[in-house]
Amino acid sequence: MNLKGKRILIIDDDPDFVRSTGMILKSAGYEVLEAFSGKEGLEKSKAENPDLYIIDLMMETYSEGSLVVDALVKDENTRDKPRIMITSVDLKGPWDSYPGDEWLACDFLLQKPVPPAELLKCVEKAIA
Amino acid sequence: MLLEKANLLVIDDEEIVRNSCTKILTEEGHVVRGAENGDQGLNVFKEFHPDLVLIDLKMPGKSGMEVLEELESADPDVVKIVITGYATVSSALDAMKRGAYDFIPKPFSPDELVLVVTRGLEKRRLLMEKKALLIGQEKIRRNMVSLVSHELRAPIAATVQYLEVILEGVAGEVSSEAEELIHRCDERLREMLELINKWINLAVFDPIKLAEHFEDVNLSEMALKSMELLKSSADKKKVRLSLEAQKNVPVIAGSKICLEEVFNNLIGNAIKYNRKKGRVAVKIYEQGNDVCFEVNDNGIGIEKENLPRIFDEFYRVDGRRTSPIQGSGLGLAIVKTMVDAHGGAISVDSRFGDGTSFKIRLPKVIHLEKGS
Repeated sequence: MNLKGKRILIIDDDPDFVRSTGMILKSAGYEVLEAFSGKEGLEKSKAENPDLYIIDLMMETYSEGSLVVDALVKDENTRDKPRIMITSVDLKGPWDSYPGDEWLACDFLLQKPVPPAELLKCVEKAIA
Repeated sequence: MLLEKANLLVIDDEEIVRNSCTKILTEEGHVVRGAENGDQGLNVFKEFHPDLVLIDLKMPGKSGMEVLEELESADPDVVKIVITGYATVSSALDAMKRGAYDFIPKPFSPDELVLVVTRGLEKRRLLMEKKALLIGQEKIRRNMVSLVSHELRAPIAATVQYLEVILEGVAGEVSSEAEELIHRCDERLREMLELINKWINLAVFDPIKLAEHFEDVNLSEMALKSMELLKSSADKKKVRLSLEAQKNVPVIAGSKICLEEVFNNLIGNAIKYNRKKGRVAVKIYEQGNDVCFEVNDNGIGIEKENLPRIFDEFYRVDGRRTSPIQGSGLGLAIVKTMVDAHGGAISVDSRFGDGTSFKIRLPKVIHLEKGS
């Protein structure tokens, strides 16, 4: 399966993160779409129908990212599209274990900063 | 607003007192249960969850004062009122000292009873409000901490991500010297992220919540796992690791994740603050009601005047953040917190230039024999 040219929508209110993530993905041949809030993300999703979503968990509000996921899951057009959730929350906080990927209804849950190689590996696995 | 419909418990050996209290207070709209002695009262207390308890001080069997004390230690937020047979000020005062909110001398009129109970329920309402407020504040504090941690982490994460993109060559060619410098930036920033994580975890650490998830833990297995993890850093310094574990050492009740942290920190330190070709000897053995865990090294040691402060947060012995040995200054603070949370104790013995020995005692799980 040729992954080049697959379209990935990044939804994150941190423009620096959108930019660097976009650079990594573009270098691997993906087409990148950008949204800087949950609302914009859902609009772009409708208009552009991307192949994969990369969503920041904590944007303007605490749970904006998971609200975006909820909306994507509710819509049958986007329900089966792969999703990667990314957050700067400390996921390994050893004494207050964090709910896993399952809880977030995502294929992967990654912690910022994501090493480029790891990001690309997850994207490939999620799309395949 | 008063508690209009409260759960009330009357513990009194005289049936007539129980019945009249029940009648009067039920008419006031409350739910009333009676108990004819202390033990029965304590049982009802457990499943009925009363807001207020009336306790007769003079009862056969368990005395009212004992019942009062047990109830007070079970839940200080439940209002207790004692019924005194003789209006002796001294026994009433004594009861108040042991947690009673008020007293009512026998015989009493319905109005007197209602008055005392109403006052008691007002106190109960205030106690409940205070409790709710405290829980609310704790919630806010925790949310605050995770919010702050997110805000602290986000810019560092964004920066590291850029650095990694640059290192990948995605933004153009990087000279070898620039690459080296960027690697250093990357490392320093990652250390800072790690520090924030540790600090936050310590700040929101809740030993009570942790204890709810305790399981049986075999310390020898944990030590082996930790030594495997740290083997490569020991090899780098040519430090020899050894484990001497008593056979069939009893399990302790604990959290594996937290104890892993304890082991990794202590053994990690013993390697880090060791000399080349040094030794780290780990020992595990049973002693009385405890399982003991020792980490002994023949490394650089700690000066006597520094020993009292090594468990303090952010305390580092040489005080220089840029010393060749990297550390957050939180490792031993975490160890101490974890050991305390397990009901254990930690002690340290060190001779400067000779080596250091940490000893942890953790209470072992005691399986009660049937019938005991």
